[in-house]
Amino acid sequence: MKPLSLRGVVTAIGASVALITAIALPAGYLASNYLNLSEHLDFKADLNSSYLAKYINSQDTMWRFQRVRLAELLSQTDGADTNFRKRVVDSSSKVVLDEGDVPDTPTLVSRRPITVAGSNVGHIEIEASLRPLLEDSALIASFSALLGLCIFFAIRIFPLRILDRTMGQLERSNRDLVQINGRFDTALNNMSHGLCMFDSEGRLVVKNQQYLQVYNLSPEVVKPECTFLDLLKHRAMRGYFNGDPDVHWAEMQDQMKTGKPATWVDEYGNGHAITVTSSPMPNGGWVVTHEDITEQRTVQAKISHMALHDALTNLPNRLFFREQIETRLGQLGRDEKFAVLCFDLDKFKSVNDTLGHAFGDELLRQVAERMGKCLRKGDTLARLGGDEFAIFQAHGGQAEDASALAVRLIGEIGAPFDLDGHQVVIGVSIGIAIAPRDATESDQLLKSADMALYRAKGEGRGTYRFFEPEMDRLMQARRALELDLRKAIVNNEFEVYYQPLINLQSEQICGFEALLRWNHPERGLIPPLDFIPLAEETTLIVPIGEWVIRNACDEAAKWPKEIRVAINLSPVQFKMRNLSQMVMSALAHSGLAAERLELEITESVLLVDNVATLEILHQLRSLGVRISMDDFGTGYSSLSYLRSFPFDKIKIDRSFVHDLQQNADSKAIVRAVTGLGASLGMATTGEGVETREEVDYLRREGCTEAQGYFFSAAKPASEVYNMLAERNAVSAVA
Amino acid sequence: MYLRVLVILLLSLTSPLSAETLRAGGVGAATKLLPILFAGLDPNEDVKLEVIPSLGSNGGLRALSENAIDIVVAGRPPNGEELQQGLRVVVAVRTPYTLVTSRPTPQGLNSTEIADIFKAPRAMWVDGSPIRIILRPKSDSDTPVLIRIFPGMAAALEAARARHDIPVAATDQDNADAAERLKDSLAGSTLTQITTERRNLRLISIDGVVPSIDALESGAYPFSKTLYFILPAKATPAAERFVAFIQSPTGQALLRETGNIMVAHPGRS
Repeated sequence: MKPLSLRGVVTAIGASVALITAIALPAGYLASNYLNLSEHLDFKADLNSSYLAKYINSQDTMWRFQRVRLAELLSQTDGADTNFRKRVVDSSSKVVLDEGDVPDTPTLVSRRPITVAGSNVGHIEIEASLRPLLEDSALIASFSALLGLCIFFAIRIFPLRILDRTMGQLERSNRDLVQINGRFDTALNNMSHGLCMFDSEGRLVVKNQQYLQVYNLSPEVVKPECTFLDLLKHRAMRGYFNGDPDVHWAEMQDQMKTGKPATWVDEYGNGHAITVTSSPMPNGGWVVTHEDITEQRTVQAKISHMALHDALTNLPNRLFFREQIETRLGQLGRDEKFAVLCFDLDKFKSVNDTLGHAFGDELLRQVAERMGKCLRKGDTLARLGGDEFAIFQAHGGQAEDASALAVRLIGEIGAPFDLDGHQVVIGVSIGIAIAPRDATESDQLLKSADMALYRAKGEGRGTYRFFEPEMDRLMQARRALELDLRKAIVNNEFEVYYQPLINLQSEQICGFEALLRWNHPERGLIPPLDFIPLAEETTLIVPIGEWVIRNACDEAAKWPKEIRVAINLSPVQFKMRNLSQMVMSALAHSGLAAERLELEITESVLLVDNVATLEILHQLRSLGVRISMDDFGTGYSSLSYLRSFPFDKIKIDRSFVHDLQQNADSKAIVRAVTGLGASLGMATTGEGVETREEVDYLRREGCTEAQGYFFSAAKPASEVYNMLAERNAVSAVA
Repeated sequence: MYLRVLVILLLSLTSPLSAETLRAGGVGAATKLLPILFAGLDPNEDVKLEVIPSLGSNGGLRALSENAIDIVVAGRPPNGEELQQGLRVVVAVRTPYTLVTSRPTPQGLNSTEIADIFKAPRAMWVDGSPIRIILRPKSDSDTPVLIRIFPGMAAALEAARARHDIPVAATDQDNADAAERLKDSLAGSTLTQITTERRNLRLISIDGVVPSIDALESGAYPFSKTLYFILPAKATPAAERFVAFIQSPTGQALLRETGNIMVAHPGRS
């Protein structure tokens, strides 16, 4: 029923009841009271007529004048009720008696004849006012109307209010339902999966747009009431169904009977792959979701490839390479072998530094390409990272095969590369390990090849080495030393020794060279050459070097003001950009005058990042610190180095000083260097002086300073004053 | 005085019947007065008196105007309509209006307390006995007399009428009968009725004055009711003769003896 019609019915009922109440009550009251009054008047009239008839019968005609008596007779029926007018009229229509007040109009009159001896002698009228009754009725009508109005509103308002409330709830429920349906539709059509729902008869109930898109289906076919079998046939026409639809429909029904969801992947000839999940519903139908995983599979394959390959060269990466070795090791039969070659590109870093990373990357791509050409079927080339490559040589069980491959690789890589017009020549060092002889696990095998590579690099580069068990032992020893070195810093096992520098003119001590010593708790005093290279390789030289500078400065600050201190700097320390700040801090902390500090560098320092190094050197020199060229003559001994920086001193390597007596070349070199120093205004120091002849020769050749066991070995700081005293005494004697 | 009246009554009873009848009526107080006065006529008059009872003043005047009776004694004078019909007052007498009781030795009352007695539901005599009052109908000629002579009586009578235990006597005779019958009664009446009907009732002194003709004449007792002897325009000879007798010294003496004094003569007033 429509709400409006129901509202009308309720209103009509309310109005009817109200109208009946408003009219019936006063009408009933009026009618009943009118009848009562009428009957009452009739009764009084009858009674009075009877009284009068009896009285008149006993009288003569004079009854008409005996008003007093007549009034008395009539008053007998009054009782307490006196609101009547009583009139006695004789047969001649003359009023014989008129008792009582004239009642207010309108009135009700009851008239009865007075019959005496069969003759009508007159009649009596009892008259009463209807006004009180009408007034009461009007009052009741007012109350009734009010009551009717209340009833009307009660009947109309309360049920309608309940109705309105119910209708409101219904409307809200409808709105909620519409909203929920809207959300459901939105969710349905915005989900990434295709979805369709079937009833127990296999008829389509719900589907979303994605379902049509996944299978490229026509909305004209796929619509509610469409059967599952029709859909299968339609999909088959679109190339999205393999097999017989009737058979699949039967299988589907069987599967639904199990009551368990099922998931499978359908692959189609067009390359598409779709994951289908079918879930039975409690009412006998089922829901099927369809996820197109074609792209997902492609992406997964790409991700898998990326996870196992190097993006730059598209070569297998370390992980993939390791798995290959692992697999191969697992499959390795008796007497079967294979080789793993690990190699680093020589000079690759300088290419990267000079030409930039783009050229470095291009170089790596070209290297990979050339290496690939050297491989045979079954071999695997991988890039392990940076300029590290590795080859799994499936048939490299014999050392000859591995050697042949290594030689081929060295030759191929040694040929110049053309990098966008830049001719670049690099080399390669190769380490070779043979499985299972050298290792039976992939990590260990790679480690073995790596150690061989380390050996190859250490022995001149551009070559290859096979792994030997000795390498492992040395490597372990080196690793143990590294651990001890790290602990040494913490345990304060280092000590600075000081070797005097002698002014050859006065043969007085003009300074001391600070030399690091390591008091190993188990191995005793370890010479610098046994741990400095390792400290440089592991960059531990940076904190160790700082400690030496601060310690030496603190110590030198206690010495006489004319005594300088010389400290060696490692090339690795120049990689620390704040070297000059650290030196400044050490000077400030110790209070040592900058000109009393002499920093010694070797030519190798200038080989690394020359520009930056020179900048640091200039910074140091601007502080007032003296800079010395140490071990001059042993390396490139390029004169351009002397020109590139205004060194304060050149230190002639001990090998030249030591050969002065036997080697004329050494004398010539010493003379040339001292001459060069004098020409450039640089002091010169002869190192490793062990004899008086060497001292004298150096003095004659113009060398300004010397140091060596002839004067004193390096001694602890506590011996500095003794050395100063002894030297002064000696020079005084001389 | 009572003896004389008795004699007259006896004479009237023994007189021979005549053909002419004098029909009279009116107030109840005159019911016995009329025969006494009629008895004073010449015995040779061939006239018979018929007193029609229970007419009252209004009924009597109506009957007189319709010539149903020949003379009426009314408690009021004719009204304008009745005068137009020719009715005329020929004699007017005053009789002391009295309060009477059945108590053997009634106490006197003050005129100012009469209304309170009628009004109070539990009015009592000095000995604590209840005062049982008797009312008259509104239309009775005594009612306006009471209202006129005693202050506050209109409201007192209305209050008394509202009580259902108060008897209402329709006629003067009913009134006197009730007063006699009720113990400790109190009712209004006239000296002429009490005298002529020889009622067993005691007159109550008002303001210390016992009602009497003398007291009325002297003004010591001011409470009275006037009775009007009224004839039609065309009175019967018997009626004329009866009126003439009343106006005669004998008639007036009889009036006085019956508790009335003539107060006016219409012809001269």
